[in-house]
Amino acid sequence: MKLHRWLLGASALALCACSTIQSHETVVDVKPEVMSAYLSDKPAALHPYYERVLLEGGRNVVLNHMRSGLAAYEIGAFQTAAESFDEALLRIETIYADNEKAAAARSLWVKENIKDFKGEPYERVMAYYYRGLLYLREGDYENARASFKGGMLQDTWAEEEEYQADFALMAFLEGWSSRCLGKESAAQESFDEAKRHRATFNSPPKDHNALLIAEIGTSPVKVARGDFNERLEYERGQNFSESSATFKITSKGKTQTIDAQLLEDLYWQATTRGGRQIQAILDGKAQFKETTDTAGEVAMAAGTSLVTTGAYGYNDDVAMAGAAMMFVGLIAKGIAAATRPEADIRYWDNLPDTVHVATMKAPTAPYSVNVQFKNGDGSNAGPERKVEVAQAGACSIGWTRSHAATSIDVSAPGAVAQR
Amino acid sequence: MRIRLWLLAAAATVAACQTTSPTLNTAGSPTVELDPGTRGPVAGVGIEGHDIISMTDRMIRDMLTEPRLAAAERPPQVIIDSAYFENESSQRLNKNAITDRLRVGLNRAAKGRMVFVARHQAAMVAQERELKREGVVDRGTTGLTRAQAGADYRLGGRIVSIDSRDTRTGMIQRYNQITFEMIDLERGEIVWSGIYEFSRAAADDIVYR
Repeated sequence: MKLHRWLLGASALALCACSTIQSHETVVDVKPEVMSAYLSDKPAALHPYYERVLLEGGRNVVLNHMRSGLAAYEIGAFQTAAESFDEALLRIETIYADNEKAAAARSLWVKENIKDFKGEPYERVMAYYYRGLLYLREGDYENARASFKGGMLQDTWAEEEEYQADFALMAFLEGWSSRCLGKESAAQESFDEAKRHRATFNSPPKDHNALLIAEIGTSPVKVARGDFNERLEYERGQNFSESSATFKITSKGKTQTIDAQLLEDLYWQATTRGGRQIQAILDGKAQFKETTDTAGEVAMAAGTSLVTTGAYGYNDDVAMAGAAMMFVGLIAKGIAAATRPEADIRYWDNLPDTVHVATMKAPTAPYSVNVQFKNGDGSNAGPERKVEVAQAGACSIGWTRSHAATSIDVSAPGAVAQR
Repeated sequence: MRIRLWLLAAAATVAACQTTSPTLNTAGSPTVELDPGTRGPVAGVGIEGHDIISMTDRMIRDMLTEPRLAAAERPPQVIIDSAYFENESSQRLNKNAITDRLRVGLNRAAKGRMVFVARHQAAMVAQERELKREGVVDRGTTGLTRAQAGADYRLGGRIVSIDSRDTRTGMIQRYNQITFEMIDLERGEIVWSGIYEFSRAAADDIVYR
């Protein structure tokens, strides 16, 4: 009877030891008046996304500002978008040394996703990219250039040297900012760098002063692979067929068409980063989990055998020794279950798959621009759409996307646990 | 005794399997006053508030030792704004934070040895001049002039940075260089130069690498 009680207790212990959801993965309570005050200066259409900034707390604040900021940019709430990207970049640029949450992410018992999200390098680069585009709209070409330079720096983490700082898009935009500042020599240097990273890129002629950007497809998807979901991998975004864009520009009754050139592939950027240093820690956690689990299995099997032998032989001491072994096995299995090697798969889900650009010599904006997205076979992907063009300085800029930045769930993938 | 040991082991297991992960600073941090001249609790490798205070203080002191600026027979008329102060660095910043502090500090320290022309407020001045001349408002007390003040000297300068990163250790290092030049607006001569430079290095926790 006493033996049964122990076994039952130990079993219950092992079962309850580890639930799959950890407390940091849940949303927090926010007082309605606090939420209301926070949302008061945000566009109503974006409230479902901005709510997440408070609900999901500090660990997801960068992620939520990235996706909300992009949605704000798309609906024309430029000030809100700029503030969101500033907030995200402030945290990305903060050095996380001696940070307790980062330390917790390294511990055996806590998932990696406890750390404050800063994004993988391609996501950080894109935060700088959108902030830079907003500066270009405002005609603040110096800060635009600083943004693009800052973004390129985030792409220096690749394991292989050839993939370090190889974001052709950022090099091109740095050059474009220099051109808008009248620094043609610096512009050409950057255009040359962009060409080194993407051989098909054609530098814009010196008299071009209008930039048109088309973002195509859906973001790279982070997935966790391995026996314990400890390995971060990527899949190309799904649910889109378009692969190119053609701009139609109408000015003074004349229409010209320009095919945008592919300048950046985000899936390629995500997958050429190479191994993350944190991966070694996650691999260690996974190995510990596996070893402990195996040890638990062995102890349980041996313990069961001893209990059976003791029971048949009416030998309480052997049975108790077996029970003790089973208990140790259960403890080991409990520890294994409590070990959390899962890779952090939160990701910025309203990014595009690829970015395409076109430049031209244009009159001072406004002028009319439409875009036609096209499938791989050359057929039209949906109807033509109008592109908003802005000009606040020497250059004009138009920006469009094939997939709406708001066609996402209110919460980012992996951001909070689903019960 | 043996049962106690087992209970202890069970408690240890429960503690190990505890799914409540640390939630930090749940209570937040009350507002604290910080000395803007010293490094605060949040820092990176770029230009920060205390750098601006330190560099502008140094430039003010240095500029006031230049006889052509601070000991001329007739106080020179100078423009100090960000129009020709270029940011070529990889850091987004508001250049006015530097040039405004420089202008205010110099204006207070110069005590009339230099005259500061508010070219950044030229539109405001032009609007008032127009109102005065149209008779919409009176002449004020200082009288009318033929034109707004022209300048003898104007501040120019550049902010540059050089970044490097060691992917093995995760260290990022940034060399920041801020140059200031006072340009003679007739001859193009540089009558005064100052430079402020520093390097900083830091590394994020390994979980971000």
